[in-house]
Formats: sequence, C-alpha cells, structure tokens
Amino acid sequence: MTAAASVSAAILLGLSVGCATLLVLAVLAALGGAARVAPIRATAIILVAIGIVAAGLFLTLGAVPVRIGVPFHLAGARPLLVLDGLSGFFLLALLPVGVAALAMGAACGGMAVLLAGAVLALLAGEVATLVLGVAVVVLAAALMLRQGEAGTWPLAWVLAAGLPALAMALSVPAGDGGFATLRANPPEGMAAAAMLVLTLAGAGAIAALVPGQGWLQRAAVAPARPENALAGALVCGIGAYLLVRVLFDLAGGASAGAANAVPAWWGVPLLAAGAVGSVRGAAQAAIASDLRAMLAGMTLAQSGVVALGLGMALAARAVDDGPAAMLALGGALFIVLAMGWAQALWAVVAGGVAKGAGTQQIGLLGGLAQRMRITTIAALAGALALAAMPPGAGFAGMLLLLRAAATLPRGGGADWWLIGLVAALALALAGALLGFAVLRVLGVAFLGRPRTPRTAAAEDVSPGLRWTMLALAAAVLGCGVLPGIVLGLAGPALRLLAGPVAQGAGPQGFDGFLPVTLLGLLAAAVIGVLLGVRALGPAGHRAAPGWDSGQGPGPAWLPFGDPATQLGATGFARYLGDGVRFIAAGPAVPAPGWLRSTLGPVAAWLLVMPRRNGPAVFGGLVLAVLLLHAVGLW
Amino acid sequence: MVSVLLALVAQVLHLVLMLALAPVLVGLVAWLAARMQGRVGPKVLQPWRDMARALRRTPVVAEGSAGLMRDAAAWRLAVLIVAAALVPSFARDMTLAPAADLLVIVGLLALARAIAGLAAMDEGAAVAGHAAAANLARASLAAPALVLVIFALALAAGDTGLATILALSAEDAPGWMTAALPLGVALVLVAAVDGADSVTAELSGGQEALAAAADALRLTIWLALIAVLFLPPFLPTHMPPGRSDAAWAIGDWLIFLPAWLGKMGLLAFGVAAARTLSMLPAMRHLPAMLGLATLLAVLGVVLLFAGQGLR
Repeated sequence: MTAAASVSAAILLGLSVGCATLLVLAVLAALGGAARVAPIRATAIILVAIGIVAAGLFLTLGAVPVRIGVPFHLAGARPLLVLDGLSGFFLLALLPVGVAALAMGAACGGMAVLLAGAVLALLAGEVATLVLGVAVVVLAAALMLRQGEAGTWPLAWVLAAGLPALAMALSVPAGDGGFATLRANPPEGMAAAAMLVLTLAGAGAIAALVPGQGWLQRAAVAPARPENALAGALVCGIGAYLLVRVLFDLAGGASAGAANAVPAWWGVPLLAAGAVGSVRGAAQAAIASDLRAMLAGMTLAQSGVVALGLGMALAARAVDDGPAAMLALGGALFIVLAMGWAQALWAVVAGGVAKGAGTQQIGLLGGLAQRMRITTIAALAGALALAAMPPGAGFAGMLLLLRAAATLPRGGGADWWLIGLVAALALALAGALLGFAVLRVLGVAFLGRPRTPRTAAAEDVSPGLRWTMLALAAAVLGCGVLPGIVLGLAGPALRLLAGPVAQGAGPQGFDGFLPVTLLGLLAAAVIGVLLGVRALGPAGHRAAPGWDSGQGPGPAWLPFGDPATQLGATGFARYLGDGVRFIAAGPAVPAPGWLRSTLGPVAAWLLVMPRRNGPAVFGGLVLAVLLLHAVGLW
Repeated sequence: MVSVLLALVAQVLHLVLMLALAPVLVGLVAWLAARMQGRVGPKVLQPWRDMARALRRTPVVAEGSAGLMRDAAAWRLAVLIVAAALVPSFARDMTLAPAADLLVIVGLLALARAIAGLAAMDEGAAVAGHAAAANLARASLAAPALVLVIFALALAAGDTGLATILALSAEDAPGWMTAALPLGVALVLVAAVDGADSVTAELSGGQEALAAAADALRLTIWLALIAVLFLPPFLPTHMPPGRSDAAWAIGDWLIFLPAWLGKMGLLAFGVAAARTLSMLPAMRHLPAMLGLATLLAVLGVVLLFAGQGLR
C-alpha cells in the first residue's frame, strides 16, 4: 500500500465519520432549539471545510480509488463506500455550496442532513447506499423548500416519481448491486434502453431537467428564505452526479468495440433536455424580477449546460471520438465546479442584499455599490464567471464545450452535424442570456441611484459572511484565471469515465486560451491608458449637477429623484423581446393551479387531458398502435 | 533569437498601426460617405483632432455619482486594445499569435460592451440606461449567429485558433468557398448590429476622448476580422519553413502591409456606401436582421456539410 493510497483511505474514513457527525449535529440542532444553534453551525461549517480540503488533497494525490466494505471485507462482501476521482471531484464541487448555505444561516439541521446525504450519495459504492443518500438529499431539500402552512411541495414530483425511477433504473442490471458488479455486467438490449429511460427520468427530475417539471422555479417564487436556494443548487448537483455516474460509469461499454457498448443515441435525449433546460433557465434568469427567481434560472441553466456537455460526451465516447469526449466531459465537469461555486457566491450576495437592503426585488434596489462595498466586489467577481466573458470561469467552461461541439461532427454524417449545431446554438444563446441576466442585476441593483429609502440605507454584510464571500470570490476568480488547475483536478474523473479513448487522446483543452497572459495584458493596457490620459489631459475633475435628460430636479416628496428617470428591472428586460419571454414562460397549460404547482405542467396536463378530450386521446392511441403495427408488419 | 525579436517588432508595429489607424478609419468612412452624398466632408484626420481637443478639457462628473465606473472608459479601451493586439493584420507569426483565439477575441469584445453598459447604468439616467439595455439585449440576440459563424470556421479548420483558421481561408478549398459567402454576410450583419450605437452621451473631457477611441477601435477590430477571415489574398499565415530571417520578414511586410491597408480601405468604402444608401437598419429592424444573420450562419454550416469542406 503506497503512501498516497493510505492517505486516501484515511480521507475516506474521515469523510464517512464526518458524514455521521453531521447527522449527529442535525439531531442536536433539532433537540437544542434556537439557543444552541450557533456552536452547532460553526462545528458543521468547520467539518465541511475540512471535507473540502480532504477532497482537494485526495484529487491532488492522484485519486487512488479506496473503499470501505461492511463488514470489513468479508469474502463476497461488496464495498459500501468508494472514493474515486469522480466522487472526489463532486465533493470538491458541492461541499463549498454547503458551507455557503450554512454560513448564510440556512436551516442548520436541514442543511446538515442534506450535506450528510450528499456525502453518502457521492461516496456510495453500491446501489442501496446510493439510493438512500439521494433520498436523504431530496427529502431534506423538500422539507427545506416546502412553502407556507398549507403550501405546496415543489419537490413532490421528484419524491413521487424521480426517486422510484432512479431506484428502478439501478435495479435493472442483475447482481448484488455493487458498482463493480454493475460495471462488469452492464445490461443489454431492451434492459439497457429501460435503464436509460429510467435514469433520464429519475436523475433528470432531480437535476430539474425533465421538461415542464420546473421544481426549481416553484421553489423560488413563494416567500422562502434566500439561503434555501442553495438547497436547490445542491439537489441539482447531485442530479448531475447521478447522470455522470450511471450513464458513464455503471452502464458500461465505454468503448465502441466493447461487447455491450453504449449506443451513440443515448446522448441525444440528454442533449435535447440540456439544450431546452439551458436556454430556458437562462431566459428565466434574464427576465426574473426577483433575485431568488434569477438564481433558480441560473441553476437550471447550469444543469442544462452540464447535461448538454454530458450528452455530447456520451455520443462521442460511443464512436471512440476521444478528443471530443474529453472536451465535452471536461467542459461539463468544469461547469459543475466553477459555475456551481459562482452561483453559491451569488446566492450569498443575494442573501446579503436581502438582509442589508431589505428586499430581493431587483426593481426596488439600486445604488448598492455605494453602501455595500464588499458585497459589490463579490458580485462583480461572480458576474465575471457567470457572464461567460474572459478571463472568467464561465468563459473557460463554455470554450471547452463549444470546442467539443465543433470537434464532434468531424468525420460524421448529417446527424452528427445536427448535434453539433444544436449544441453550439443552445450554448451561445444560454451564455449570452446569462450574461445579460448578470449585467442587468449589476446595473439595476448595484449601480445607479437608490430606488427606495430602505435601499439608500442598506448595510454591508456581517464580518463572518464577509470572509465567506471573499473566499468564494477568490476561488471563483482563481477558476477563471487558472482553469488548467480545475481541469487537472477533474483529470482522474475524466480518465475514469472516458474509458479507453482517454488513452492517447489528451484534451486539447485550453490551447490558445491563456488567461494569465490576457490578465497581464489587460493590466498593462489599463495602466497604460490611465497614465496616458493623466499625462496628456488636465488633472482632476469638476462636479456639476447631472443632466437628467431634461427632467429637472424631483419634488421634495421624491428624495431619490423621480423613479421614472432611471431604467428599472422590467424595462431593462423588455429589450429582449417577446421571444425570450415566451421561452422563459413556456406554453400555457390548462390544468388547475394546485395540480400544476405540485406536479408541474406536463404531468398535470397528462392527468387532466384524458378527462377533457377523452375520445380524442383514445382515438389517437388506437391510431398510434395501428400505425406501429402496420410499420411492424411492413 | 532573430525570429523572437522580429515577432515582437511585428506585434508592436501591428498594435501601433491599429491604434493609429482606428480614428483615421472613422474619419475615412465619414469623408467617403460625405463625398458620396455630394458634400465636401470633414477631413480624414478630424476624429484625431476631436479626441485631442476633448483630452485637453477638464472632465465634468455628475454630482453624487458613485464613481465606481469613473474609469470605465479607460477599462473599456484597455480591453479593446488587448483584443486589437490579438487580431492578425499584415505580419505573420506575431508574438501574441498563439493566444489569438477567435472565441477569446469575441469574448473580449463582449467584455468591453459589458463595461460600457455598466458605466451607462451607473449614471442613473434613463436615456443612457435604455441605450445600454438595448445594446446588451441586441448583443445577446446576436450571439447565436456569431457563435455559429465561429462554429463553422472551427469545424472547417479544426480549431478556433486564428492561425488554423487563416490557413484554411488562405487555401480556398472549394467546399469552404461556397460556405464562406453566407458566413461572411452573417458576420457583417452581426458587426453592423454591434456597431449600431454606443453610449457616450454623458462623458466629457478625457473620458469622451477614450470613448471615441474605443468606438473607433471596435470598428477597426470588426473590419480587420472580416478582412482576415473572408478576404483571402495576402493573409498572414504561418511563415513557410526556411524563411525565418529578417530579410524575408521585412520583404513580406512590404507586400502585406499595403494589401492589408487596401482591404481596410475597401471595407471602409463598403461601410460608407451602406450608410449612404441607408442600408444601416432602423433600430426596430435589428431583431429581424439578427434572425437573418442566424439563418445565414445555419446556411453556411449546411453548405459546409454539403461540400464537406473539412480539413
């Protein structure tokens, strides 16, 4: 046993102990009441922070896979917990989100249970543990995100349909349920197709990607605490992990030559769901009137972009297209980590704004930059990453995915060209709309004049939260400036997932993208321009009343000027036009509100439609069966 | 050693030329447009004079402004200068050529636009805010067409790096040539929409000069990109092996520099003609134009597939 392996084993042991401790802390938080929460919260934060460092150390040491069997490797006993490159990477990506949520003051017990479930799901080495961990995550999130006394359960559909589908998907292959057994005997033929469909339904529902099942949006609209947005982000992260783990690792057949190869078309539904989700989420973020709704849109967009990358990677791997598979997988994992952190940062910013300025309505804010300096700096750092502009982290991820889209069709037929085209279009639109959304919030909420007296008296975040914010901001900026390091940390996972094609096909990755050089050039250019202006022009400036487009000074009862003289949140978004609004809202569904808000539009429509148009549906079904029969006979 | 030095000299020469040329190009467009309309027109160097005059004035700042974006014009110009340093012009193998990626250049243009938009929002005035919102929304809607053009170029060339793409357009492979026409038109439409207006209303003094310089530089970058991607002869591809000494390089510059200047002049003529013929669209037609650009880009990709213009 090498040194790296023993360290890794110690890390796995520590992580499982930490997971159990989180559960104990949750029980203590539930028993102790409000008075004792602060020390429990601090303990939980320290514990999770140690987990982050451990995951980083594990990945840096080369991610030697380690396992814990119960009871202690008896003959035939399957490993209960496994730590490999993929689980280590997701731990590193998701645990900081948990720290941010805890630091913001999310329900301590609920978040501790959620994080314990997440660690259990990420470390699971067999099916039952995995399903248990995911169930804990979803249940904890459902409890945290439920709304009002008689309110709705946004995650009802995931609990009722997503989890069972996932469990069924994982029970399709025969065997004892250990991951090693699953890998060795992946399903074939119809069983494989059933596994795909069930995984997409289950993990897709958890990642908020099943069309019309927008639990993220429903969780965001009602008056819930802003911190709980991060519970949604964590659930989406677990959904992404499930998609990767099941479709790339457990379903087997990594190479086209293998006996039970995964067919290329497995990537197509994932790609379609990702394209719809990314564009839709970005459109929702771009027109949202509320910071929570905007964050929910961004989480959905991120989920969609990740699914887009995974779909491309799955298709590419199936035809042994090594470079494209590595680019797409690398891009997806990069986005999971970098955009996940950036969103956690913006959630902390939104929480700080809600507390310090009293509202999350973008249209009521304004001029926060003058009162909330640290929050503004953090928001700018997050914006650079989320807006997909160089040298930000989002740009690096999008660069990888766009390169994958442009590599995929080479040497393929028309279908491959279509896949690349759709992926490039969706990525372009999603990235541009995300940039618009971020700039809109910065411009309306942070710059300009205050719009309400409350905003004019906004206060910056508390010192504790300030350090969380600055640490996250530094991490997010680091991801953008040194993207190669993040890709390096994803390396073990990439080698694990891409299969034989990974050998010899190093990802071209960030060739030609030199963020450090760019940053140096930018700094030199800024200094040069500023010095030039100072040298050539007169020093200083003169203050004068701003020209308010001829409006004149406002009356005494409008201390912040006439609101009509400053562009608001809604007016800003109106320039995007009706198309984007339609994409964000989706088609109208004729179903009762409570049904729609619990199950989502598509499920509600499926329930209501037969009653309303029974004969037509029945006729359609008969026709479809006849047609299928005819095609089959022919 | 000689080649490293030559690359550096070429890079500096290129950047100085881009910066010096940008206002001249704006002046040239204005002069050409005036001549086409039968007027005498301003002098070609007029933008330089305007900038120098603005630079000598004391800037006026609105009372009560946060001042967060006070240097935004300088940041924006700096971002555009970096983008201009990456766009190839007449010299082969410049120092920054390895960093010249099409996506990076487009991303830097977006960053400059974002800075301008935020600075306009910081004024807290309606007119500037509306202009910024309209600008950012248009850029978002233009992104699909722009990315599709880059996608097609990368697909045909094998990479988004400009060096690889230049090698492709210099070679005029038959499958590529048919696709280049709709792609080029799409890129021209995107560039026209991007340059439709800018938000400089509330700036004064040095800030005004910087904003004018940035606007001129943005036009120059777009024209240089179009020239280098879609106007084939005399493209600064990699230097053929065995020609790395100074004599070859300087001889090259003597041919390529006039060719590049001629191309830029031709494109300036095109811009002036479009302006004179009122081909620059009214604001309300811009979304339709962007839709057209996206369709043209898709057409380009389809033609590329039909011709299998892959390398």
